[in-house]
Amino acid sequence: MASRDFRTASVASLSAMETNKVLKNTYLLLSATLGFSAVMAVLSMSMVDANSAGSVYMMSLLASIVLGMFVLPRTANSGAGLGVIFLVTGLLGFGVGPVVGMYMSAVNGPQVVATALGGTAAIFLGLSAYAVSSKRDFSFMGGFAMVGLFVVIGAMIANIFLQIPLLSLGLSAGIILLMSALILMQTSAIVRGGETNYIMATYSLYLSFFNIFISLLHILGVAGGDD
Amino acid sequence: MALAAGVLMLVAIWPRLKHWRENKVEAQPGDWSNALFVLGLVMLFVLLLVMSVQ
Repeated sequence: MASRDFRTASVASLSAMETNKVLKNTYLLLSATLGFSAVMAVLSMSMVDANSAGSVYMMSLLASIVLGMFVLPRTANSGAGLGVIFLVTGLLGFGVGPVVGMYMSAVNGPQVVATALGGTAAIFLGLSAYAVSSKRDFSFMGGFAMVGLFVVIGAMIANIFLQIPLLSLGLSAGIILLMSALILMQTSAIVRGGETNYIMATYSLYLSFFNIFISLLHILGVAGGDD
Repeated sequence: MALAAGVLMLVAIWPRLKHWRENKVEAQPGDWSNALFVLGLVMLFVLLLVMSVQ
């Protein structure tokens, strides 16, 4: 009886160690990829002019999405996955650099960009800390997030033709909510052992961070006097 | 352009959401109120940031 209890305790502690390892590796890789993106963004700010910022952003975005959707899942269990995740996040950083540069050149721009970055970091850290400390399973929000995603994509496509500024702001707020739910779900999946691949976990958290930053930048850009 | 980029970014999230949708658990009593409270706090924080740059 005592031997069985000991074995159960050993399995539980091994599982907890594995979970802690995935969590630690995920946050280490996330920090590294965010740092790499920042370097690529600074590089692209000095290389790309404002006129071609939009096309560079779209091309980088397309390339990174294709890599993230089709190449990363196939390489995530090997060392090559690390190279692919740095490529994906580097491309996203390179694409967003000129867009951030445009915001920086506006009146009040540096304050808006700094507030968006600080705000994104605060939201991310707050939600992660809550998910880790509460140990709740947030996967019940999967249906809500999926419906939310459909609604936001539908409204975004509609607004490409309608061009309603207020709807655009509302959509940015909706994306922040959706990505916040995603951070809770992904972090709780790692903590509860549902996610064992730290490369895929990093990709998911990175996309949430990136989307919150872009949406916050949009909202604060409008509120700060620059659209 | 920004909206099209936004749509593309959300499409990138799709496989992860599909995975969670297929492996979701039923919510326990109090789960939704907790989650909505946290998301409400995020929205309040965003409002605070908006006020700080105005």
